[in-house]
Amino acid sequence: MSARLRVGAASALALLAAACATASAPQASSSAQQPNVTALATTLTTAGATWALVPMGHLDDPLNTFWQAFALPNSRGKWTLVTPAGVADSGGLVAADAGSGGVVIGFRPSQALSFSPLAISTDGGTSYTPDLLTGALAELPDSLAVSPTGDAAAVVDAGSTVLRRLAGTGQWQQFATRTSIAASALGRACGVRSVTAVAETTAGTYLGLACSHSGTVGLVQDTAAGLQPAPIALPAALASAQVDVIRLTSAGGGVTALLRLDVGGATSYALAWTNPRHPTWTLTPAISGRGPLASTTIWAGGAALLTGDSATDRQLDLIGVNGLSWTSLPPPPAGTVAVAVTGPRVDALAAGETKFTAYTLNHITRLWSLTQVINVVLPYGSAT
Amino acid sequence: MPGMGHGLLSDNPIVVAAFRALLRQQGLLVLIFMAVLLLALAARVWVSSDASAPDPARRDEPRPRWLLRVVFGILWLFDGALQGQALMPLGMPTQVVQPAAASSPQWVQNLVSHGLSVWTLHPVSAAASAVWIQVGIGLMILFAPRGWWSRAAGLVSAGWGLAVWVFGEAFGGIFGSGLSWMFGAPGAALLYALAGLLIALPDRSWLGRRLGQLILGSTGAFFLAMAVLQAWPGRGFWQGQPTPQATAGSLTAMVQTMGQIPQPRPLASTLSWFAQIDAHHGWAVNLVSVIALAAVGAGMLAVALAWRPRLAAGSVIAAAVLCVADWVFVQDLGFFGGVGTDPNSMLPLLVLIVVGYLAASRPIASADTAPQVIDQTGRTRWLGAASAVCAMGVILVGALPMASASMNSHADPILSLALNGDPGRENTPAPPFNLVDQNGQPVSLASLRGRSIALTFLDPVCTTDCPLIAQEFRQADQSLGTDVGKHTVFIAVVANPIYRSLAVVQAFNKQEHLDHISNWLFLTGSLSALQAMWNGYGYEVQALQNGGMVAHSEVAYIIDPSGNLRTRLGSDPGAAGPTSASLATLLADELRAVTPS
Repeated sequence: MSARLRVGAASALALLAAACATASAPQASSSAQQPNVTALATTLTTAGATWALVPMGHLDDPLNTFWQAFALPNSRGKWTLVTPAGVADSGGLVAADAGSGGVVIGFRPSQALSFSPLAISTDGGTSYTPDLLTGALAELPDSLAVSPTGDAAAVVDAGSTVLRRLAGTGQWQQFATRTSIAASALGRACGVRSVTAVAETTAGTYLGLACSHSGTVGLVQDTAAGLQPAPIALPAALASAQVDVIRLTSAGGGVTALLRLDVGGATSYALAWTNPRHPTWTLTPAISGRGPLASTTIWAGGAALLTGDSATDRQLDLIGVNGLSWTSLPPPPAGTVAVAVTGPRVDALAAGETKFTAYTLNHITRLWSLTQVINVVLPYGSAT
Repeated sequence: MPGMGHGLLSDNPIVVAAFRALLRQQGLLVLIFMAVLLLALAARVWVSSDASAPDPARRDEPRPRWLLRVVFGILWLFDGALQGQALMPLGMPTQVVQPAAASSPQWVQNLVSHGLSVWTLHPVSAAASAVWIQVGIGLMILFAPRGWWSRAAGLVSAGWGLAVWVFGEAFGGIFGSGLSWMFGAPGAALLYALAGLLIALPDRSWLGRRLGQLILGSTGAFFLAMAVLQAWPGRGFWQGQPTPQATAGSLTAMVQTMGQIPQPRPLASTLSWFAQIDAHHGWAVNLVSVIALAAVGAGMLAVALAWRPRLAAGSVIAAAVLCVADWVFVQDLGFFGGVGTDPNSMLPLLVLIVVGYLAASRPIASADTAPQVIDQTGRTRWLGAASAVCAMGVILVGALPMASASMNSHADPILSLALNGDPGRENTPAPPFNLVDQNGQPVSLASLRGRSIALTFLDPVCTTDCPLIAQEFRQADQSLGTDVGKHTVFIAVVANPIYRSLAVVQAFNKQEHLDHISNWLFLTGSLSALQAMWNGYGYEVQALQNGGMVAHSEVAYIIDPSGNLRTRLGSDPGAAGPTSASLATLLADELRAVTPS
């Protein structure tokens, strides 16, 4: 076969393949199961501002996908583009509350980079100080955490390792590995698959785990006696559930964990929380019957779930501050990729190719109103 | 096949010029070699008194074999000429082999990728080698008509044909989806290989009609199998393209694609016309194809089992019509467009069928009744041998550089030159600098006096080229050896105004396994010190907003031991695999040139 014929054959096959893919795409989409990895697109509320991390650009082309950070300072009601510069962020961004109104944003490495540059801001994203994590941040929204005293922890290497850096020292040290956790009593009970989240408190480091064994909540705290399981009891109906901790935060001085519970192929979500005033762990009712998870937001004693098959068919459920039941909010506008909850204000954030749009929920009319549009100039081709 | 692209366009003028220059050099070598050898052998023939003695053992060549040899000899020459097209060095992997293997299983892609790495790393010498190997095979087949040399030519043809079939055609796509006789299955190179094997057969194989019937029967069985495949539902051959919005069927899409390739207008018009026919009558066209393939296949199979002259003639004529129609209307003759490597499968297939028919229809009964020799002189025998030796020499002119290249895992420096242009020569004092290395130790230009320097600028949090450039520096260091290496130092200067701390530089060194190389320095400093360095070397750095990597130019400098800036090289490393160590070779050469022995 000559060169030209080969090119022709390849083109013809590509056309056919494209046609087949087009025809079968809806079926594939509708049959999609719950993703194992929780989406990175999320929001984070700190003392000084609410932060949103969303992907923009050509999302089907990793090298021309650019993650953006937006901040909604407490002092003003407008979102601002505050993406830290200096590093290609096609791999994704992860944010953590750095205390005192500050935030630390981590760059997930992409292509040839194998470690994660960090950027710290204490002025609402107006300026950043560069920092470094000597590992590759895992693709998890809570792979980075900082305690009020400045100790930091990070889940790296796709959830197989946790690094920790004590305040005032420059060195990241290995804190735990999947293997070392698996050797602990809880690790054996859990059948740990990977570390899924980390949270730093003044009382120590919490690790969220994905467990392969049923009936165990993989949430551990580092204590003087080693890794100790958080005493979270599952109700009888969920006793056979396989549990993954998918979000974890130490906001508000307590610890809040969002759990995914799988029982016989049915997935539900529940929140487990504790705080100094309620030292006993509380497990909220579980919510089920939702589509694939698109984005999650977590705060002290609360969480928001954005679910649905497609960007035009999203469902939003909220569990309030130390709430006891889930509330369904009106479906957010098409294109919503993350939800920000700042006190009573709920924003649905849509990210198009170059347009960031914020919609705010009117709790009385239960309608979403467009409150802001930011056009973002993207550096296409800069990472190729 | 990841890693096969190198970011260069096929018509890169530097590569094209180098390819043509090499062809001219090797062509001259071929001409001189052939002239000397022919003169020597001719003299031997004329001087020898025994040379004119007849050779009673020699017989005339069977006509089918003669046809096979002449046509395939000409085809090899033609293919060799096609290999000399300007786009071949860089176009062959990306435009020829990659599409061929794209629909094949991963193991085929891996095998092809592995085999093709020689071409990807050494495109100029590999492309030139292909020219001379194929020209040499063609000459050998044509000018060694009889005897041991002729059979050897057949074996060489078969061997090279098989190599091309595996590594150049990905087994003719037989393991891929979309396999069709119409699109060239089982691959032209396999037919060349089969022809070579037939040429390599001993004379007695051509006695009787058995070989001819075997050729016709095998081809008939192949046609029948292809008819079944052509009729198989769900492969896109039945559908045409009833409306412009509808997805084009396999054949329609193929013909449309072929019609878009640059070619003479009448040919393009013919393809356009046939594409229209197939688009509107795809079902009917495929039905005719299936019936024709099945009928021709059945006919040839029948005459293979029991010889029937009329059925044989009819089947061969029908096969000829079918092959020519496919060659023109679907395969588009095959050699236009700049990267055509052969005239496709239909011509060699048709020749094999005709050869089979001739061998079966006009059998040589036995050695006793075979046509008597017309060529019995030792002089001609000598000339035949001399020609074969010359042709083998032409093959070696191609094969030896390819064998040599296959032992070198470093990419040809021409790739780096093609990416970056020729190095700029200078001889001016290098701008001074005062920075710190990865350990925080002060480093200045003055402190490095007496050592040759390869200097570049790297962003330590870069995700693409900087790590590759660093690896090129590392390989350049390795290739220098200790004698030159101990007098050289490799320097990178941070090219990021934000991420420039010692910790970041150390993380980069660790990532690139540069942290244990004693003469590697990754320099950084305060922003003002770095800016002074960047300004001194006319270097531009820009921190892009909104998620972009820091933009900076890619350049390397060679500074001699006296502190003079001698060479300015572009340092775009290209893709990791195909251009690996290309820049390193250039750097090492430049460093050797300025380092006292």
